[in-house]
Amino acid sequence: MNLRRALTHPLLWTALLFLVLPFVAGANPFKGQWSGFLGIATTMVIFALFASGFNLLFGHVGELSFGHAMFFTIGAYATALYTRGFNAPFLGLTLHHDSANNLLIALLLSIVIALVWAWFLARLVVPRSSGIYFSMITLAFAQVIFFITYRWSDLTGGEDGLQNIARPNPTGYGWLHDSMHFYWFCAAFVFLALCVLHWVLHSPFGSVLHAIRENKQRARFLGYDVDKFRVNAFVLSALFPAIAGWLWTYYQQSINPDAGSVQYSGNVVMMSLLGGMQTFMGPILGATIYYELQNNVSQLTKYWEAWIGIVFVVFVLVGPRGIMGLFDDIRHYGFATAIQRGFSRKTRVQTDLQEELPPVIEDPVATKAPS
Amino acid sequence: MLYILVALGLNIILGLMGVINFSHGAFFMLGAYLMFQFNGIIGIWPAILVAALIVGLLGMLFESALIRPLYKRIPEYTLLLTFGTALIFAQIVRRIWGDDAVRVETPSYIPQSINIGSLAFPFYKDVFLVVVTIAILAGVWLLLNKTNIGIIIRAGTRDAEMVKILGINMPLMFTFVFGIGSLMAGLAGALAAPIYAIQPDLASQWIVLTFVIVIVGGIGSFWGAIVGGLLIGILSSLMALIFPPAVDVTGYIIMGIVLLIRPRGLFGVEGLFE
Amino acid sequence: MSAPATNPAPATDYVFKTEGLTRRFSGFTAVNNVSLEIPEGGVRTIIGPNGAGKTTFFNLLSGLLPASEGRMWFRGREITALPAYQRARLGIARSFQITNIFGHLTVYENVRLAVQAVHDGKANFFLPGSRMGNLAEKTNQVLHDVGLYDSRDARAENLSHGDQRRLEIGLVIASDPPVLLLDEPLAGMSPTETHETVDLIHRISPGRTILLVEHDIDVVMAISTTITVFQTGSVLAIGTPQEIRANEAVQRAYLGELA
Repeated sequence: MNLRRALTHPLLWTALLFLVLPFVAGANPFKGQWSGFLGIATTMVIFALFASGFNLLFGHVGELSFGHAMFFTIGAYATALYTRGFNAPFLGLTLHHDSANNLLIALLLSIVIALVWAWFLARLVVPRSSGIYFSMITLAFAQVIFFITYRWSDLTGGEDGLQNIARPNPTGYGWLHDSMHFYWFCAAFVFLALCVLHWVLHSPFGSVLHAIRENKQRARFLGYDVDKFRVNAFVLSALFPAIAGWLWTYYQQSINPDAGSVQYSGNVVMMSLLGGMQTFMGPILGATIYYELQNNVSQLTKYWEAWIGIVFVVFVLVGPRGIMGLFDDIRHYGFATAIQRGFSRKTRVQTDLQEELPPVIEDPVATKAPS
Repeated sequence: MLYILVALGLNIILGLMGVINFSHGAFFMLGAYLMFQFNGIIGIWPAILVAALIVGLLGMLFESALIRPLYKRIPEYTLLLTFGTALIFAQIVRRIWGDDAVRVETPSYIPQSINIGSLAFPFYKDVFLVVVTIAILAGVWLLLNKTNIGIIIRAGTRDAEMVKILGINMPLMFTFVFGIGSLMAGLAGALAAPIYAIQPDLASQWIVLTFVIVIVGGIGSFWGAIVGGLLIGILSSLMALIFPPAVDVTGYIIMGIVLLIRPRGLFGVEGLFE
Repeated sequence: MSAPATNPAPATDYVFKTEGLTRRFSGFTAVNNVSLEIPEGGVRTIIGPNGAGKTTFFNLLSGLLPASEGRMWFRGREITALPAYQRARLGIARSFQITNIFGHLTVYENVRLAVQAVHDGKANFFLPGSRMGNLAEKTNQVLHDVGLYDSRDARAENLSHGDQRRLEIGLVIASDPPVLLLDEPLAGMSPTETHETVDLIHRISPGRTILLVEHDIDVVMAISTTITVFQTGSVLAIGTPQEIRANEAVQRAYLGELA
């Protein structure tokens, strides 16, 4: 790998970002706030992973799932319930824990349950839907999970959720109770997971996903079992939110149904688009920007969500390739042209050839009389 | 019953234009809030009408300003944009009317309940709304099937190009249809105002339910919205008697079953009406 | 399907056989009860007036559309219900009338995807170093074959129309298929481009069967082994170019149109 490629490698920049975040996240020099907030940094890092997993499906396969928070919340609740112990007489299961040191088992549980649900859902939904239909269905199924966490109070604590969840304590010295330590713990895990994601995206599997995004029909005619790839991508895209949920429970030391809400699903969608959905760093950047905005704007008005909504709407209209896309354009075309392209550019105009083509009207002009 | 109106409004838009309005629930909510606002000024019935009309007009403005630029792109962009606007609407509503729920006072001349045989039914909810909904549905059906505009809408569903060639102004048509769909949502909201607690998260509650009905009934289908809505409504009520904790999930279970056996929805036939 | 240097001998001597193949679109029958056998080898062209059902027939063979009625076989194996991607893996490669490439990917990536599909299209996360090398080699070879090696790093959507058509052909030959379905490959080409593409077709035809839909009668007459004439969904005539030229029914069909 030559120097230039190494210097522009997204993983390098991600690592740099993670190194810098605890010192700048949420900082606001204009208000004399010169140092960063660890809480915000940790949140950014966790959601960077969540958004990146979601974006595997959205930016790289081209399928918009509006319910990805369901995997996040499954990971979070699985972790919470395992760590805290639970009593589910209905299922005939009980788990008692005084202190939970086995964070890896919690992680395993989170991943397995999330993937099982993802696989089941993928097999049901993916071959039968695409486009906005798929989006609507994923949204609806996410609500199933949401309502389970909301209604099954005996198990999940209902609307209030579960509290007093202990931070993992692998060393026995409570090392992770310190916010700074916990941040590095999160950053390390997230970075590792992102490395895996990067590897997947650059593998042959990843290139087929891109092909499917560009032209599903053509990929089929090259011989790829497109539906199988879509199913696999869907399941894979659930892995990372589940890990993020695991971290989230430990970070907050509590969990409530919000983690699986439409809002959370929508937030990662916004993060991915804002950051740049067809790039690796896009969702990561998007998560950072989102929480930075939230922090700064919420200090100015309690209607900060409206402002984020406005920013998002503007990006959808004129800058759908997000910030990374803007960088790209500026790099290639210079600042003025980049803005202009934002207004005229059609992103991903190619739509799938429909499954049932109407009869092709053969062009009367092309016919030549036989000699 | 009102969710049928909302779902039908969405289906009309989906059927003709192939775009989905995530803010449809917000229009419903606005209808409710506007009704509340005007109720004090001009009385219950005019308030309902005015609220519905305002939402309809708002829908048309919304479409021409924000949705039209996205027609060249894949429909996901409309979904994304309207998701963003739903957020904005929710905050606007909070700003104007506050975070707490508001309630509409119904005038005293509306009876609380009405007796049919030996059973007492809540008048407004079970009798009046049902009658009104049926009347509106009939009106919409007439519009779609017996008027010139209706024929254009149904024809334009698959062949927007052809209809354009016939000299019909499609962009105007789209705006108009979007207005009608939004008006239905607003009307439903206005009608709902007297019996619901009106609060900012009304929008997100209703939009998901609407999506489920549309999926079950079939995208773009007139009867689909009706049958889908009824099916889910009736089965949810049954579930409330059998196993209350699962009431919210009933709709999704039905949706899952429908997806398994008939992925296009009960009446979904390539997005056409009926 | 592995990438054969030589194509294995088929079990039968036809490449496609159809029996009562029919396709209807709500009230309109595009392909009407077509029963024929297309022999192995050579360039078999399908011609016919507009709306004759040529492209629909292609769509049926390649699996883009399901048949309303009838059955079809590919080299002795029934494919009537087989999904499109599996037909592609059996060796039926198809190009499209409207250029159908991966716009945002580079030319190189486009072809590599097609080559990669040959490895059973499973696309693992790993690819052993040896096969990776093979992929690159094969991709470059295809690029050279269609004359796009120099533009390999360009984005496909930025190519000229003629180059895009060539990429389209590159995609179909990349998997080394025994059968090629080319749907109006010369559409919209300049005379030079037409000449080059015809050359290309000549170059790749040995050892394969090429099914061609085309309107350019001069080209059709020059390169076809046999010509099948479609009209309103049925086969009007099949024969060598000379036989077709002399066929009265065909003359009536075409000249009747002009009157």
